[in-house]
Amino acid sequence: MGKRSRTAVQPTNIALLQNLIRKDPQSYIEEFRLQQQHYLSLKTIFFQNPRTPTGHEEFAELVGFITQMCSCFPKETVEFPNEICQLLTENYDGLNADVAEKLVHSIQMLRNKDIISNEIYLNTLFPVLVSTESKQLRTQVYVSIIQMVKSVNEGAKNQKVNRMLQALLFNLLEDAESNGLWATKITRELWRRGIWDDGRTVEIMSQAALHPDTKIASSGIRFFLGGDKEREDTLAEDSDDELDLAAIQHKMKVNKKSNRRKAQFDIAARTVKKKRGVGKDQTHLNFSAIHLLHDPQGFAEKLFSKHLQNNQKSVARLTLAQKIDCLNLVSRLVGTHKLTVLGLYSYFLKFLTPKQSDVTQFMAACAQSSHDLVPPDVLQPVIRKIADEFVSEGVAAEVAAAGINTIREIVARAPLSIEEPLLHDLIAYKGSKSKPVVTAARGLIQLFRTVDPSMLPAKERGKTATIALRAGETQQAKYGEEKVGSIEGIELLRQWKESNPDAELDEDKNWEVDSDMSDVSDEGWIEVGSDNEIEISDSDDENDESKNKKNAESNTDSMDTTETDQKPSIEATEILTPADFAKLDELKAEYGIRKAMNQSNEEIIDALNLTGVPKYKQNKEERLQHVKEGRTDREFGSHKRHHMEKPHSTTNKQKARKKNFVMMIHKREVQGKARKSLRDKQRLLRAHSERQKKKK
Amino acid sequence: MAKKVKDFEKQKLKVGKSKPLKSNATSTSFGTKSLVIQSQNKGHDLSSFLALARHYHAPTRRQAVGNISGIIHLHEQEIGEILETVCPLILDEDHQVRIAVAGFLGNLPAASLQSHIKLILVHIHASMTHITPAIRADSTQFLQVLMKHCPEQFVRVGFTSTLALYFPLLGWNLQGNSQSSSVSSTLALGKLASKARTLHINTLNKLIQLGTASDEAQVDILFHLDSEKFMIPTINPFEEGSQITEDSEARKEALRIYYKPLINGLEIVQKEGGEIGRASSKILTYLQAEFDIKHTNNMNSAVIRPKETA
Repeated sequence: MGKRSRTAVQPTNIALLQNLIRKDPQSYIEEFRLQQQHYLSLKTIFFQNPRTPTGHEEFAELVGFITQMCSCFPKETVEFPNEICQLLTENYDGLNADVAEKLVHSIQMLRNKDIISNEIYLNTLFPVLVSTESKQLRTQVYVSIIQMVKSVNEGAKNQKVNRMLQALLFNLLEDAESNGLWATKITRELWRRGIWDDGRTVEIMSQAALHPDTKIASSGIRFFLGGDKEREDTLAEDSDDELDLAAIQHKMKVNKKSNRRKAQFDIAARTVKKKRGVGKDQTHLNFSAIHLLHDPQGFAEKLFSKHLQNNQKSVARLTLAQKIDCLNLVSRLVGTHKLTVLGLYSYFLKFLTPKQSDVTQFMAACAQSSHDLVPPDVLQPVIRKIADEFVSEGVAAEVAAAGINTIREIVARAPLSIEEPLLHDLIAYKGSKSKPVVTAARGLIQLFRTVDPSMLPAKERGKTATIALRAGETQQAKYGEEKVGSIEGIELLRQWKESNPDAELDEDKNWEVDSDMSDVSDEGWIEVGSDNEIEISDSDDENDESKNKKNAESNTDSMDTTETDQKPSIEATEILTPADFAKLDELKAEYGIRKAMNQSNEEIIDALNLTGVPKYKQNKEERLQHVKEGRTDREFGSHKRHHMEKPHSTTNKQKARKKNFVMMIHKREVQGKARKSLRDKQRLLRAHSERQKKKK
Repeated sequence: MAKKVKDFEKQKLKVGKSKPLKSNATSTSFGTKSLVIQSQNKGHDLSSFLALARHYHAPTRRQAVGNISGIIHLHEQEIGEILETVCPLILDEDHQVRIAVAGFLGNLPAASLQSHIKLILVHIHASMTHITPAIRADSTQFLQVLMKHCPEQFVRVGFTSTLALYFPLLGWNLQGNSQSSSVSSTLALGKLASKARTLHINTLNKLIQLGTASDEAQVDILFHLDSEKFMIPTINPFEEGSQITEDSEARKEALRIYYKPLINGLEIVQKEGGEIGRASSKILTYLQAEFDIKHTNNMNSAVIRPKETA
């Protein structure tokens, strides 16, 4: 290759040479060869004594240089990537810290340029991460592995790399000797960033939670308890710092146009697009970890028997905090998936005494683990125990409140697990002197008014529940009973149809909806519905009024009950059209029925709430804060000042000040100044100086 | 009136909170601190000189090397340790320090030079390929010292590798047929540069002569007499680790691999004329005599045949 017209420069340092080679690789090939030779001899020197305090800077610099040159001279540097990988895998603990850092950095750079494949990259760095003694190296490798997985999964997921890393992590957990904590750390981080969100990831963590080492086990357990929340938080943060594309666009319009600015805008637009793409992908598969478990029943049983039941001698001893975490997880699993782990409830009995430390946590776990498929005779002893230990005259008020609140939480999930006499006893606490106890007891009454009023003493049932009971509408649920053969939320549809009977006139239209999907049909329906609603509601009121004349007291609830008796179910009498189903979906979303359904089992019980809210006097800052909260919408202070702060044109005063003096000199207000009496002048001067002081 | 403080107040237990500590509870936590006593030794012994040899101030380093050289005869046992500190100074950025190191090596007893020749050679090789031109220029001075004091051991261990490094040093192309393409060598003009190149050519001349001289006279004490029977000399200059050439035959074999590019480079230098041209023509005639080849301008078609040495 002949020389270019560019001026030849003699390189005297590595950075300069690197720059020169970048511009014109072929002219400087001999210099590159020289440095390659130098690298080889320095390598020999360095590996005679890898921990040497001197000489490593130069070696590290050369490694960086040749790494950079790999793209310029691919033929000359074929063996270099393998060489540095080998160097690192063989000597990572004996190496000087700087050189090790440089090697990792170079390997990372080569992977970014696709010279080293992802597989070799992982196989080189992963063993270093797991077994090196140097903290600095460990953090660097950890960060670079996370970074790599992140970049590989941008856009579409790279399942090959994910599988490979997951297999490595599984192996790490299976081998009891190795440092399994890294498996949990990496998985947790990738989950937190929303990069890994599938069943295999959760499988790694469930394996970690069952690990014999307590540290790993508790790390796995904590993942299931808090991992999802972490992920939500980070995703929310990410969406906050998005580039403001509109602002940049505006700048483009206003500022001078240049190629550089255009390029900047293009880059910004691309990053925003990329980010949005990723975000969409993440929300698409946003299941919580507990829902992705393959075998929740098996997992819960194993967790319970391995970490909590003390029948094995060789079991790893968890600390109390770890035990509570584990219990929390087991109970949440049981509650969410409605599992049956019968040993759990008798296990709780041991801990449910007021003197047990952190007893509120145990109580919360106990409440979480109860659901309607637990046999009542298993839960009854637990409730009995809580009532005996916590709710009696001899204990402190907050203890009694905690007891009643816990019982309420349990009973809300499994209404059959309490007997009537005990319930009556607990309700009697509504006459207590302590506020939290009264609130707790009232909560219990309120709960049973909706769940099963027949259990309450007659005077506590309330008007609505009494009427419903007399009409025979409410029946006690039996154990294991579930509503069958009904469509979710069909009641809503029935009510809606009753309120707008005109809506179903055009039957043929309703069937056509099928083909062109909900969007168009929805719009049509909403229009019709809203029109009719007004008319029909009027007529309903009239009906009500006429009936009200006969019955002095009757409310809408009783109306509904009579109507349900006449028409048992809408699906039995009518054929539902696709339009009906579309409407049903809309209604369901409207009433948040899904949310209400999930709430009973997935709701996390906060241990702090069980003792009731402590009442104390607010201090001054808190009071002031309340006051300030009320002021947010209004502006205080002078109107003039607010006006002056806004951008505005020159005021009359400013104009007067700027006016040419020659034009003003003959005016009376100017000439009069000289004729003023001494006293007046003094008065004016004093007023001015006063004003100046006030300004400061 | 101030409220009276009770003597034995009972601490209340709170539900869900851990038990408060008893008043007579003993804290068993402890911390440690270590005492570091810095060395007070400031005597002018070997260890302090070795430390000074790593000093940031160049004249101090030079002085330290000189001092070590003065007391070397007292520390025959620690020669390995000393060399480990001094050898990196072959790559020192200061000219004076490098000259001092060359003096130091010349002052060493031949036996210790021989036993540590690998360590020294590796550093010289690094200096031959160093990016700073001044360090490269001085590199062959150290070679000169080795050739003077322990020629046999030097050519045995370092003949091939050293020869190979002359090509990038002089900016010659190892691939052969094309012209010199190194930018630095074409730009290296001036008095100092030409002086350095003359030195390079002269040492190359000496290297070739030492390497190809028949070694019947020398008595090899290092090896068993029959060791030759079990050794298979294999040469591959492009691979590390196989650079040891046992006898002049093996070295000639190695030289044959580099013959063509070597002649190519020397011819270019010969055309420059002057002292350097004369030196290179001397090498050329020697090589031709040795290898018995009619030297033609068209070297590409030259048949290389080593002289029969029976």
